[in-house]
Amino acid sequence: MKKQSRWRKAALALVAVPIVLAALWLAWMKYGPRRVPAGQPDVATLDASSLQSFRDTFSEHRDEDRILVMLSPT
Amino acid sequence: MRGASALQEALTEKAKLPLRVFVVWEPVLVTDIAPPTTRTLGLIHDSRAAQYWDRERVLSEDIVRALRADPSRYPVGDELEKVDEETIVWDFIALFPRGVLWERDIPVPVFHGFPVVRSIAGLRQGLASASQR
Repeated sequence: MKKQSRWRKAALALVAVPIVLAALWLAWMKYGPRRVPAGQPDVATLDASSLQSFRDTFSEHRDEDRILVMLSPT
Repeated sequence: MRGASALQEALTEKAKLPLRVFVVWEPVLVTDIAPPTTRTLGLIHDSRAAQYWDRERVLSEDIVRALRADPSRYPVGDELEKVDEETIVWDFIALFPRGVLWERDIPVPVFHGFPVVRSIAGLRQGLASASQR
């Protein structure tokens, strides 16, 4: 009986440890700190409420040529 | 990712050009479960760039709306036939000249292309013209 219980614990650990590690990794990926390269403003969130502000920022730089690039992060 | 690196190379070549770069990251692939990491953000390290995370792809939707509302305004040619409400604008680059404003609809670019990595030659030409102005 004792032996069986030890095996069960080991099996549980084998399953639980990767799940916990994966959850921690996922949380880090989603909520971990991000740093932009030196000289750039912090990453801004673009959503329905900030879209007009994005357009305005684009227009404020009318004295320069502008590049827009849209990419997937992976 | 190769597109971001290729863009950074082109920016490095034109380090003195007065330029503003709007980098919009958006989830498209199944692996895009989170905003860009520090490493990803570092791919475009030019100080003329500002980076955005567009989790809901509102910019893509807005561009598609503008294209469908006034197709004759944009130099997209046959590509427009493939644009519908489900279209996601991504791996896309566009160059806009000085003077244009972004009011309701995206302004008309002097150059645009996709995928980004294969559009860098065109971008370089556009930037070369810009530096002669």
